[in-house]
Formats: sequence, structure tokens, C-alpha cells
Amino acid sequence: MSDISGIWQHASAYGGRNMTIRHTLDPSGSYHTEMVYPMHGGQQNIHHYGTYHANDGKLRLQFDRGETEMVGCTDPANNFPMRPFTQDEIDEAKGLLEQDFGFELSGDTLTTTIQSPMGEMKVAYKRQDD
Amino acid sequence: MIRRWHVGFEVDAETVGDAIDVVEVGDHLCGVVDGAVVETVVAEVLDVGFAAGCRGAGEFVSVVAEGAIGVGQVCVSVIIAHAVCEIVVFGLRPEVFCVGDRSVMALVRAGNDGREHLTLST
Repeated sequence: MSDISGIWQHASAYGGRNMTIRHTLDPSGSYHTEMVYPMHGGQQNIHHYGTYHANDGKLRLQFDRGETEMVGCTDPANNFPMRPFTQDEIDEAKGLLEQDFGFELSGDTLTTTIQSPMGEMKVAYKRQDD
Repeated sequence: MIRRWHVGFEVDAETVGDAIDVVEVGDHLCGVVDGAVVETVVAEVLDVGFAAGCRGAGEFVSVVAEGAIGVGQVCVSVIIAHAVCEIVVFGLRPEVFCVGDRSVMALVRAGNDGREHLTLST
């Protein structure tokens, strides 16, 4: 198993969204992903928990559960407290995440690759200190 | 409604009085037949942050999840898809389908402008 354990962060401004994704890959094989997604003047926070397996340039996730909350919105009615994913959300997350990703480790950069109908798409993560 | 060859849909805002109520599919999207028409909603509640990245249709990279947008919501799967693939997506419905580059772009500007500023382009 390739050792890609650690904390990896990707900051994206695509589409005008300053999104942050942080993966914590534990050496034990469990992972925790935190996503911060700005919305309505506040942000939606999403957490994923599951396990991962990385070997021979292939990364495979098993998504177990997720939680989400909305905080700090301009209109407080848009806020909601942390709640677990619904079954539909779990099913959709599994469909999106439980597929083969390619990965490449180079110094403090982890690049994941996914084959989409539009071709190869890559996301680069920088290693973060604890 | 102006139609072009291989064009999804386009609306001339000047000819549309209350644009929110007149979204209409003009053609199939690159072979996607019977694509759902987005449920109409009032402009003031649409979150249009994505539009900032759609300055030109050419920047719009081609995978769209289309569906009714609820008040104040963007579904979790859309955000995850964004995270996984850096893809800009709209809407809530789980089916994700491909459209060709420059195929469709929709922008509804929020604000108190009488709901008259709807632009659909290709």
C-alpha cells in the first residue's frame, strides 16, 4: 500500500467559489474529508468519513458516512445545524466517490485523477502540517 | 426564442417580459432527449455564485446536473462533484449528463430588477 497518509488540502476558486477541501488520510486506512463551500453569505461545511486504499497509483475510497451544516448565512433561515447525510445523499456520495482515482505523489503535492466523460480531470493537494 | 443549429436554447432578454416564467427547451442537448426543464423559481432566491465563473460559455466545462433548485439549497452531491472533479454544476437532481463544450449556460441575476434579466446562452 502506498503511503499517502497525512493531511492534504486543495483550495479552489473555480466558478467564483473559494472552496477548500482537506483530506486527512490516517495511516490506519481511515479518512476524513472536510469541505468548506461558500454559500448565501455563509458556508456549507461537509464532512466525509470512510476508509481508503492506495496502491500502485490507484486510490480507492469507501465512503461510510457524512455530515453537513450551513452556518453564517446572510439570511439565517438558510442556516441549519450539523446533520447526518440522508440516505439519498449517502447513495449519491458513494456513486461519486467510490470509483478508481489515479494518484501521483510528488514532494508535497498529491494529484488525484479521475476519468470523466469529458476526459481526464485532476485535482492537486498540498501537504499540510498537523 | 431564437434557435440555432446545435444550440441548446437561447433567449433574447429584450423580448422576454417576465423571463423567469418562460424558460423553454429549444433543442436537445447533444443527444440528451427529453431533458427536464428546470422548475421555475423566482430570481431573488437563486444562488448565482457559479455565474461568476461563467464569464464566457467557453469556460463552462461541460458537465451539468440539472434540476429544480430549492430555496437556499445546493445539494451535497453537487458540492462533492465539484470537489472531485472541479466541475461547475447546477441544480439538485442526481442525474448528471454531459453536454458539449459551450452547449448551455444559464444566468439569472439576483436582485430587485423586476426579474427581467435572464440570459440563456450557448
